[in-house]
Amino acid sequence: MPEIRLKNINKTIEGKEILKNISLRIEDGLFTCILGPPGAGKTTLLKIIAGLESLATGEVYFGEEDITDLSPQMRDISMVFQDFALYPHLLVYENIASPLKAKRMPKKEIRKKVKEVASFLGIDRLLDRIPKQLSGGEMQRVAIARAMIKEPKVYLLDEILVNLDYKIREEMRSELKGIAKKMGRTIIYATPDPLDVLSMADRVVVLHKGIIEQKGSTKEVYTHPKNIVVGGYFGFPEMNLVDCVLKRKNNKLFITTDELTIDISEFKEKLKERKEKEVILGVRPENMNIATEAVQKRGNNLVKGEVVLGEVIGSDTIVHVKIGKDKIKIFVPRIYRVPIGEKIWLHFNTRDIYLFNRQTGECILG
Amino acid sequence: MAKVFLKNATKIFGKTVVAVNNLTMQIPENELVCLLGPSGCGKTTTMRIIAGLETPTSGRVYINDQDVTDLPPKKRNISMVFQLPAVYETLTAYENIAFPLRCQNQPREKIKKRVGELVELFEIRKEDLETKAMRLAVSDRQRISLAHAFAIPRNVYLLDEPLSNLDPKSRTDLRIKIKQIQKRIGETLIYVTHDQSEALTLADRIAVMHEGKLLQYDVAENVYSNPTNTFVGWFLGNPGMNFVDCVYIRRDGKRLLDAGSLKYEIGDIKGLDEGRELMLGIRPENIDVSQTKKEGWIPCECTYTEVIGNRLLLHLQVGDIVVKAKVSADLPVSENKRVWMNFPSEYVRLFDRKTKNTIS
Repeated sequence: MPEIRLKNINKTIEGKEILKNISLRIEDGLFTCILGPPGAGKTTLLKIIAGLESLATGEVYFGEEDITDLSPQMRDISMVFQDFALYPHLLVYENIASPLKAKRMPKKEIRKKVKEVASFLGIDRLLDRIPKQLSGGEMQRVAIARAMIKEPKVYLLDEILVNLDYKIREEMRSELKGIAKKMGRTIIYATPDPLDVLSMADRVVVLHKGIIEQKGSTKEVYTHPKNIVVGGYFGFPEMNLVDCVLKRKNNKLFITTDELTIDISEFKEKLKERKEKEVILGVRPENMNIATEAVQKRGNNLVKGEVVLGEVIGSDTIVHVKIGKDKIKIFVPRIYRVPIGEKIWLHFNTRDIYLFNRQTGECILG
Repeated sequence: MAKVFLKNATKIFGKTVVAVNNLTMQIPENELVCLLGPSGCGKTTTMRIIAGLETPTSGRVYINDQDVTDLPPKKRNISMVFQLPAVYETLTAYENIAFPLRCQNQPREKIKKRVGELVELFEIRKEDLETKAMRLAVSDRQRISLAHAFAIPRNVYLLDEPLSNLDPKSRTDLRIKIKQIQKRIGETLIYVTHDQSEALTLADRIAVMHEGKLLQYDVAENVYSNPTNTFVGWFLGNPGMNFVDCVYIRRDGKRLLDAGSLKYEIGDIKGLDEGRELMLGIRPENIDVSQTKKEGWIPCECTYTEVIGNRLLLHLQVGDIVVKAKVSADLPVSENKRVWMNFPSEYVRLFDRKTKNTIS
């Protein structure tokens, strides 16, 4: 199976620049997520790969073959949309079979293939129903089945979990990852949700205002964000960001805020070339802890705050805390019901911090 | 401030669709109660019965000990917020919020002051106040419907999935607001949601519904830690509780839960007969996992690892039994490796295999 390459793609729709000089290689057989907020250009990018948007400048390659001017039907690609787009009056069976009917495949063969795909996705018992009689998760599976039956080399999935109930979304994530693994095909998945990426993707492309901010393996991009756009967006919950000042004194290095001073002399060597003073401190919520008494006694990197809300997500809790004018999130890996207004001490390790230049957003540490 | 009592409420649509099935529940005053369940479980119908938008086929509804079953909605002194913001599109944000106050003929100055309070409470942008509601974003319109609903004191506030259609950021913001407001004004609030996270975040008390029936109604901690039924155990949590079919037996003076390839030693349980068919339930985050052998722990194989956010979900297999354990993403476990797991006894729950109900 070939890889997909995009070369110098620009796309303007109704005078608005949607994609700016995008060059990208999508590796064969991997699960790649295009991550970005609404309006980043994710859907447009998928449509260009599918051939549903024409290009004024730039090229699309499928392996060595230039497919820029190839019609969508001729590309070996299936796209699934957010709103499923099932035929409401047709049975599930007919919905899944429709791409093969259009190819005029013999009925007997179609029947065999529909049965195979349906049993692969666990929807064989739904074949005689119409879409209205299905739950959201079931409809989504039917839409995926219809894409799979063409046996394309590449799947383009556009925010397909967004409209599902929370519980089903969680289950579908795990299921989709399993399906992808079993099929071993190339999947390109557009989403605004960092959890989708963290839970499913081998590779991530962070798209922001039509520009690729960073691309790489999920772990690499998560651990080493290039700038504050990537660091601030790609995480769940998002990274805590606080304005700080970098200070050098007595051969030591500190960052200071209104609330605390942190000794980061351990990074002195690493940061010795850096000239900037105004920085942004970033700490991921999972790297912050509610300090136990023992930690409180040691007294390093402690800051006091007031609980705004303990927000449960699945079986974890995000504790929202107010510290002065800043709002900080802490990730607690269990159900933690903490009273609103409670005063708590927060703690983090300096080895887990990120620093960004406040003007350029460039990541200078982390 | 009011308490609400539903007594044997049943709602049948048409001849056969039982939306709510013989539901009895007491909602204490000043609490935030969540009606939680999957689509079609009857939670919205239950709320509409309390509001007076549906008449129960049988059963009664009481607000503050007064039978309101036959009273129309407007005589019940309640307010409601729905999934889609219900605002007067052609009125400005200010006029929308002021509307319930105007209906009471309150003096202009008093209205202005109250609207000011509400604007601050729900963090509505001042510049939006003179904008017509139809020109505002969904999340801003929902803030206005909430302000409208809380404008004057009511017996009960009914909220039906008010945050489901919002972007994640606004959803978190408004969760915080709703919880703060309920704490501050201390009113009775009934909140319908399909999202277990939302229920655990907001509720003092959770009513879990399934197929029209009330399965469990208890303080939030208990619903999560001590589910009365396997459905509740599965529905709450991500992923939900693990269940392992097993039989209660005695061997060599020990009492065991025998699941074939897995045996779990357990204390004496009164009233439990030998041979009773059970299900052992344990939540994924409560399973301990070790890479090295530990005395008394269960050897198993890690067949699959899944990342969930910043946590790791392990599929652990013993014979034909698979359980999921949620551990720190730092744990260096890889697939097809032998590991040891432990079910701490304080987290083990037992259910009857036929009724699916808990055994206390």
